Amino acid sequence: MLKFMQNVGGLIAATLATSILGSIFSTQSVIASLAAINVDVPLATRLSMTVSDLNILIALGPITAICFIVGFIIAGLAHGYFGGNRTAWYVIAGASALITTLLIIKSILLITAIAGTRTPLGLMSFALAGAVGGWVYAKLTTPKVTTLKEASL
Amino acid sequence: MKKVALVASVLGFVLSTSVNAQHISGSYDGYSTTVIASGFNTAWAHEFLPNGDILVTERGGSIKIVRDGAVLNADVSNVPQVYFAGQGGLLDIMLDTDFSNNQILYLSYAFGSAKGNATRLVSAKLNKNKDAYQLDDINTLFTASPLKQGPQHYSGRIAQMADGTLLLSVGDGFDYREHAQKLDSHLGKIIRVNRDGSVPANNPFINSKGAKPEIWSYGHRNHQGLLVANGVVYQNEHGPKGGDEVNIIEPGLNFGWPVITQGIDYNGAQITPYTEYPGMQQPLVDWTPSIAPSSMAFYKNKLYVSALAEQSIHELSISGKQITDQGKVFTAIKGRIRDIATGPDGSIYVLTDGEQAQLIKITQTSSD
Repeated sequence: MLKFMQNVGGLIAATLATSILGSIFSTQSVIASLAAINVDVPLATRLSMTVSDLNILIALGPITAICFIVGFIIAGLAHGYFGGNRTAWYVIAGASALITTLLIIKSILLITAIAGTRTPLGLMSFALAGAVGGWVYAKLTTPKVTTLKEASL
Repeated sequence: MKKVALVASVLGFVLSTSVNAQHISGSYDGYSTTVIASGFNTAWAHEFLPNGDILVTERGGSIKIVRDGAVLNADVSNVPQVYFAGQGGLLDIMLDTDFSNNQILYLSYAFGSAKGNATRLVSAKLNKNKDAYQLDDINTLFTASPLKQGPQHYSGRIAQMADGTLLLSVGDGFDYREHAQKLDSHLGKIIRVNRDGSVPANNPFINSKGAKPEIWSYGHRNHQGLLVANGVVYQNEHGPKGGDEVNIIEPGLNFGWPVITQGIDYNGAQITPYTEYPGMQQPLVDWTPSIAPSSMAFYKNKLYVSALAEQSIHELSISGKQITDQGKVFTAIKGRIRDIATGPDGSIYVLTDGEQAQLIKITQTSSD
């Protein structure tokens, strides 16, 4: 039960971290596209828009959580089967799950649902956000190693 | 399809496809409606021939012929091949103002493939052979550049000015919205060409280095309503989530998309922090939340704007370059409305959307 709660907590934290980062990255990408057509966006306006855009968490959060559940289950299985660095498996899973999901959504809707991912750089920034989510999950769900000293108590 | 709806609802993106309610002819307070013909599959536009026949475009690439309330078995033949996907396909149809003498009509459609597609304008001669019609002498007048990927936001509405030049709305391609501000791109523009596709010498950017000479106005998103009445060019356009607009278009003006808008992205994010910006025009009318304006008609000095999402028709009273009043009319008509036009008999005709589209005639029974 404790492990289950640990996994749920890790998933929530990972989802929040990735969604918030994704939202921030998307806003910066959109502002960069405006700047590229000579639109002036002062720092205060940029910050205000960045904060305002966090409301996409309502949409982005559930999608991120769903793709993380799938990705992290696969990462857990892969780590158990192949071994290696556990954190690295979850980092890779977080990044690839989010990017795969965005590409699937695009193939279904025939549009880019998150404007900040229209460019390769924007899409890579979401891979980074997904990787951070994977790292957060891995750290919060690291199996506790019981030492000989603790076991003898 | 359930998966699509799930993903779309999660993202807050409203798909443009839907099942339409079917309208039934009837009499209402001040007007009556008559279903002229039905069963059109993704109809987009209709046009009236001088002999009473009505041509209806279907996005799949067909031009249906409505004669005496029935859809003929034979479609207009020799229609150019279109790229039918997403919002693309065969779009608008319009007769030349001198059609009685030259039998010329104009078509707009999505051209190309998934890898590269664009809005295209062609002219063709409509020849009648017994009861059938055929397009001949097809000439490509304009193809938007650059080619884009993704089958969305073609716009494609055609209008003709008093001097015979042609206007065409070219959408921003959805994922290419910043192109609406770039004068080296046709996306997000209204373009103006001569009947033969050449560029009029008085186009506003013809002498601007690097600019596409066909551009007549810019800063547009997905503008599916465009008409010329009393020398004034009226246009409407879909905003994103909010920010639908009606504008009066003048050459060289910047209408702001995506730098200014009252709308936000479908996922709730801002598209821009601005609703006004130096050098950019404010709309005459803004609809937030969106009604999804599709087409537009001019009748007795009033504009009629048809709407898809709101499934409505708005009547706009005009005084000079101001809209003085607006409200919904003909509310008995059911369904998403794709096209609206004034018929030669003085009635208003609307074309509904979807896979079982209807052509409906509205006759006003009381004068106002």
